[in-house]
Amino acid sequence: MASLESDKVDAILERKLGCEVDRKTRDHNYFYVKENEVFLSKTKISKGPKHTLDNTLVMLMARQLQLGVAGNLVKLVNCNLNKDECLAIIRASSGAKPAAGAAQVAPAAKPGASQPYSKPRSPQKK
Amino acid sequence: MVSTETNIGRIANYRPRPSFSLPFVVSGANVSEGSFTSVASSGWSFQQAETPAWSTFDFYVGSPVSGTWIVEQLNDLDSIWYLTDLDSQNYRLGEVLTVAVEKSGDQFIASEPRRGWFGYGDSEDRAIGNFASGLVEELEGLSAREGQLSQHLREELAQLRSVVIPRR
Repeated sequence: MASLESDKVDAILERKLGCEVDRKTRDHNYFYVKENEVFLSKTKISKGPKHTLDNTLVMLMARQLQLGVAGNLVKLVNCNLNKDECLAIIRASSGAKPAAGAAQVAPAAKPGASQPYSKPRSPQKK
Repeated sequence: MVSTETNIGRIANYRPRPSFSLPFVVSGANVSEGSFTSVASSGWSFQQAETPAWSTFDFYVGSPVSGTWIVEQLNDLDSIWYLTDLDSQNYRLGEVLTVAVEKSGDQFIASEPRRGWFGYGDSEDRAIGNFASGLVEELEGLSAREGQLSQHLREELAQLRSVVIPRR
């Protein structure tokens, strides 16, 4: 089970991943992953005192960040995944073109990442 | 009418309430007393959802179909909310949102998994409140950066704009 402390995730996203942080909103702090003046993905952390982000929240945040699975966000926070590796996963997941000289990492941890979203149709009973 | 969807089964809502994980996109579902479609995550091949509180639950998927039913432990709390208002002076909802609330650790999480929207807090009410305010905040945050968004975020902004409507 993955769980992370909100203050640590906040610091890592801003300092290590280099996110643009928006702290002006009322209820959340927003973290925008930016590369070459393009915002690739984002996530948020609720304002307020430090709290524990349990497995489900870590998973939802990892998906928002386009990092695939919760384990990748845990690895980022625990320094087992560096910024370039994260950006490569995010780029591949979000369909962004790599920056010149950027690392190429296949997003193996996120099956179906390249599948386009298709709007659910009205169910038909057989 | 020909449908490409396939009904792959029906489960009864016996106790403990089963949840299911499907390695394909759920395109829709019928329950015995109405339609329940907001159960599938977007853009993911591996979907998770929980059965609603009705007696039976039919589910439909596109082909090819393969998968395994997984019966999981009952959550500490799970409930379905139908969100009709954002409690915002500037925005209203363009559709009723089906929001699942579950307890995870110390937090309550409100989520609309089909579109990946979520909010959380230390109570069920606060989770729903943060879910609603998050929609407005994210709409405004993405709109402010609209000229610099990746394709993924442009699609997310379009989804938000279709649901979070400015009040006239």
